[in-house]
Amino acid sequence: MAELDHGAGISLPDVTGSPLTNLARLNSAVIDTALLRLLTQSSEDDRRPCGGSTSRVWQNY
Amino acid sequence: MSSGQRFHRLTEAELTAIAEGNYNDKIIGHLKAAQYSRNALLVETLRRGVRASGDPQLIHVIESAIQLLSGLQTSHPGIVTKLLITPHFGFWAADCVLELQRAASRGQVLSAELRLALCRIVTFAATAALMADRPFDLTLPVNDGTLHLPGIGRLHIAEAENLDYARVTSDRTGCEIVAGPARRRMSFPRLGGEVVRHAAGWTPAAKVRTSSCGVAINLLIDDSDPFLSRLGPTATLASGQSLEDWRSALRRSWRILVRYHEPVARALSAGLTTLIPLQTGLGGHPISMASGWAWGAVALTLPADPLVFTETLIHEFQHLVLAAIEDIVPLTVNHGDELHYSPWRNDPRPTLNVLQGSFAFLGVMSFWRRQCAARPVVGKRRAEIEFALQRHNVTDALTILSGSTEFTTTGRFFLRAMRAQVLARPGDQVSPAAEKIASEIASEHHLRWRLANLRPDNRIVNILADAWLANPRPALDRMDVPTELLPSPISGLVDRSSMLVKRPGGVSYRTPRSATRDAGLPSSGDLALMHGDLRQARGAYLRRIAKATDPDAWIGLLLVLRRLGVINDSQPGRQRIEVAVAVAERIRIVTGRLPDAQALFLWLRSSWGEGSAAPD
Repeated sequence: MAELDHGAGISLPDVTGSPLTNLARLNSAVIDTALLRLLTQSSEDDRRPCGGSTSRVWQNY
Repeated sequence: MSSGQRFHRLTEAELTAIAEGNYNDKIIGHLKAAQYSRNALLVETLRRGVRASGDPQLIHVIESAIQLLSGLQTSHPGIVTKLLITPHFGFWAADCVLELQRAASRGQVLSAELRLALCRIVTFAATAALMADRPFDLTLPVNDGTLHLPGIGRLHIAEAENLDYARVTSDRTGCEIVAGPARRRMSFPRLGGEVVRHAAGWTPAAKVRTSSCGVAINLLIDDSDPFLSRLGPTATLASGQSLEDWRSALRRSWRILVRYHEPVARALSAGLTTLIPLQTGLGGHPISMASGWAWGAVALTLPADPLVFTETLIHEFQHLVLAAIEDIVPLTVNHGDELHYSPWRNDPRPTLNVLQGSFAFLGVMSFWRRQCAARPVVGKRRAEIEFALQRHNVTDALTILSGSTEFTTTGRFFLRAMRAQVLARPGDQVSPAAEKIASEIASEHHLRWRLANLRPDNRIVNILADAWLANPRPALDRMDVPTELLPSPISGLVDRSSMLVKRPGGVSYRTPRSATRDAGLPSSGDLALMHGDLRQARGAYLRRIAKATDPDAWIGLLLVLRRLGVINDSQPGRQRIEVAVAVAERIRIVTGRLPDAQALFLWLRSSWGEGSAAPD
């Protein structure tokens, strides 16, 4: 099967080979692109059962 | 570093295998690697956020912890990788980043609570150092007098209940904890993580291991992590449930998983790390949940039987798998713009959330499909009803999603791969009786959802009520009744699903979800419906509707009409129950009396036409 074209620059950066301190060199835009959409989902707090700030919780679907 | 940056990717073959539930070590390994990258990026985001706050002390704490973790990555890469993909780490990191972003967007200084939460990175660094037998001297946060070491255990120091921090030093002879006047000394074996010398107040992490036919699973039962316990009302192992309860339940479930669902069992073995015991919901309802930030963890009440446990593990793991895919590549855009019917919820849901529900229940459907084919079949009727019901529901949801404009190319590919799984297969054998019950439960939910969330246009409702009252009463032309979506998370309507699968005099294996009202004691109409006395049921519901506006009785009436064949529409959306109830209410307001519900419904129904492409 073919490789899927996920769209340029929107996938998660692969930093598995980099020590944490090396990530300081990463361009902010690369991190923001990867994380922002996930963090935005977390504003979906209506499903959060016990308050707090972290969402992406699926309860009793 | 951004030029030449590598990205995680998923191939068509991998996405197809995931949709099919054909997990393998490579796929799970890929998803776990992505969790590492995501959590590492969260740490970097957190570091930048703290730097931006300009708090020199906090910057030093965070930078030092990252330095320690980074150093350990060189000497003991496996330990740090394993730590970073724990649900404890992911949930904590995401929570801190979100709180930092909120504080920054409001121009607020960091609260003491957030500072304490951020300092938990030192706890993770200390945990990794302990596992790697690396000496350290660190100040760790304390929650209500308890020092938590994820995956290792917790130390409660009564004298430290009003303190926020404890100093922990570790050398090759052991570990010393100093919190205010209190001093504790402990030792840990090298890399094992098990305590060999107990200190007062120490509780080792609760772990369960079970194996069947050579396939094993090791799980942490975490009832006290200060972040993961926010997932739900945690049930402590010391109060009511014992570790042995969980061990025994897991053992029985694992035998089923390995025997009949081996690829899924192997995936769970590789991906699932933590169970968070929860208290039952209101009315004793079971609860289960998972979070995309806490990969590898499932929070759940102690399941009632092995099949429920197995189903729940598969369900929640599916959520985690889809979350990991979504971490790698977006499947949808414009999150939250579109709202849809979801067969598993009382409220309208965004596209991605309906996809989450669909994928979780696709896993559940496949579980029951395999249970139907298992020999010997355990609980044949239940397996057939659940398979038929989830196939019905997932098909409905995927059909709705296929009309969404919010999918990316990858998302649409995955949707197609999922749809291929719900198509009938030669081996699918479901009795007509089971199919009928499943279809009725699906219809009941759809009717309930429509009544809870859709409000028909008042002007048209008034026109219809006037037409009903006219003499002679006109035949209706085809008429669209626009509806407004007014989401109602808890409808207050009775959930009859457990009743509909119950044999008269028997016990239902289904339990209504906690977000709905239990049927409680069945009404006389419900009792008659359960016994198949449809005339009596219809009479009882009609009498209730004649006395007062009673949406629950309307749903019962439509279920009876469906069974009687008076309405044979398999698409309850076309039944427009919300229009009928609104028109009846309007007639009551105008005349002081409620109309004959069945006659009104059938008259209204002619306006959108049985079997025609009436708008839903």
